[in-house]
Amino acid sequence: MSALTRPKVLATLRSFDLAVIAVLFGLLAWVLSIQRVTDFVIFAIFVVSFDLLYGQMGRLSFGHMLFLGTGAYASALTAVHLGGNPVLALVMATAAGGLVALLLGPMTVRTTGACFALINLAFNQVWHFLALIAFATWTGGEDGLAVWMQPVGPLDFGDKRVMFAFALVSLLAVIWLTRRLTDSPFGILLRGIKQNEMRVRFLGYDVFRAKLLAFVVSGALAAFAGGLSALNYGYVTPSFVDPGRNVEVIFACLIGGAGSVYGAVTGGVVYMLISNFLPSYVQRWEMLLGFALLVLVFRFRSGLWGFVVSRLGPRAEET
Amino acid sequence: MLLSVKGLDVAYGRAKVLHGVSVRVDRGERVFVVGRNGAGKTTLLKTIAGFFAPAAGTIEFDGRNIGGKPAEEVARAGLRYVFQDKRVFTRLTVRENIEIAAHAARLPLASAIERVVGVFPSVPRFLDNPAGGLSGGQRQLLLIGRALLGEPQLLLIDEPTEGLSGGAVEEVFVALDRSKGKVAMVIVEQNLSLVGKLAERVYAVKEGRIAAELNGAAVRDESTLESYL
Repeated sequence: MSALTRPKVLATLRSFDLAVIAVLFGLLAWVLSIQRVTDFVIFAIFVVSFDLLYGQMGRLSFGHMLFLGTGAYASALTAVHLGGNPVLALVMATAAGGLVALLLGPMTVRTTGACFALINLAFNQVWHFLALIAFATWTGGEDGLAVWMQPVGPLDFGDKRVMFAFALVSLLAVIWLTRRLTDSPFGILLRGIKQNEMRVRFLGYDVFRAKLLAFVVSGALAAFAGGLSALNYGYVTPSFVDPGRNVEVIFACLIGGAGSVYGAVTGGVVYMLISNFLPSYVQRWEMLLGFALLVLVFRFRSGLWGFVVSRLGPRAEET
Repeated sequence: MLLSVKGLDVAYGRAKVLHGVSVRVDRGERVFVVGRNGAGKTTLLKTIAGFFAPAAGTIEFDGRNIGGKPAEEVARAGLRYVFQDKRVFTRLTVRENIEIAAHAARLPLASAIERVVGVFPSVPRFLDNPAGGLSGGQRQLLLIGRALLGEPQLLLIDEPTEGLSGGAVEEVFVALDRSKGKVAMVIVEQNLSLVGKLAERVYAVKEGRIAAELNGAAVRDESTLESYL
């Protein structure tokens, strides 16, 4: 492919990104199974929400599962106490995630580096304990909660095809929204904060508000993914908020390439493919994942998507 | 008077860096600060800009006390600081570097680019390039052009020509000269020929104190200025 046509390929892909992603997931569902790929789609939403914090704003969190779990439990509790309306459950899940982020954000976003990572992990750990033991009366403790949803019009989440279609449309909406956000002056502001927060302050920005807003949006999106997970699985357990699982979203983001919504989706899918199929062939598959990550860090520093972009375009894509 | 600093003391922990420094700047005036490395020039600028809180003394800007106020509040009051290290947001494009400042100044991007062109005429050629690829001189012009967006009343510029080649120094000189009378400036500079050409008043700083205030012909006398370096 000539150097002149490479950027065009990338630009064309970007113009039809949502359609391309929809077709690729459709093919994946056809080759694998709808139920499994629905899981991939939901995980991709979770990785996109994480990338908003890490890739765009430069804040690595070791506690993002807190928001996934918040959404999952909010969705389940809505189903149990307010009837089985799935739309209401997802609205409540998203709102709960945003609210928790709004409450914790004023403490967490003032910190950076290891402090930010660990303070989020600490909150995640506390929430895990609450879900497992302290609030076991409401959360079902280790047994968790069953999630029963009533069909709302054509939205019958008991039908796996409907669940897949809804999750896919949700992912496309999240990608569109994230792209709008990262292409806007607010997105540029976040990338400015990532590079040098002090310089941004000297331009007159209240960086605290910007960071808090990004934290809330990221928390709400992660909780939305949690709500979808609850609907997809039909149950919620403390594993949805297990702090030990944070490594999954961090790995996925690094595999795909931090700082790009397409990288997040790529990473989400590749991680899910590895974690779904590698255990069938390798007993200690996590070790291979660790080696893969080492290769990525040393050979493909901008992740798989970053590598693709570097082959196709003259400049790294940073949407 | 636009800026009035009186009896400013600044300390890094127990080490006092500025001792009772007083400076003033009138509207549209171009004031230079000269002195040896470590004399406290950068600390003075950074304290005015809100980077450090003063241990004692007052900083009044446009009739408001800004001493110890956060940097973003000082910036919103109409004061901009251009750092010594000429660091732009290297991973953003030149256009995004302008946009981030334009948004803070509530200016449309097109109008902001037009204004930056006034300082950095060749900027349209670089708009879609990563700002990290600009030369030192181009970065300095971008920083000055960006700082001027939103029509600040006072610009604090730390060593604008440090490490630049002759041609780039000339470009920075032209950019600063074009802004004469439109915006007040406090510039820390070691290039005495530039000081002589642009300064209306000079403060010489020595060991954290104002050693002299020079006006008129004295600001153009390089041997006088040199005696404070």
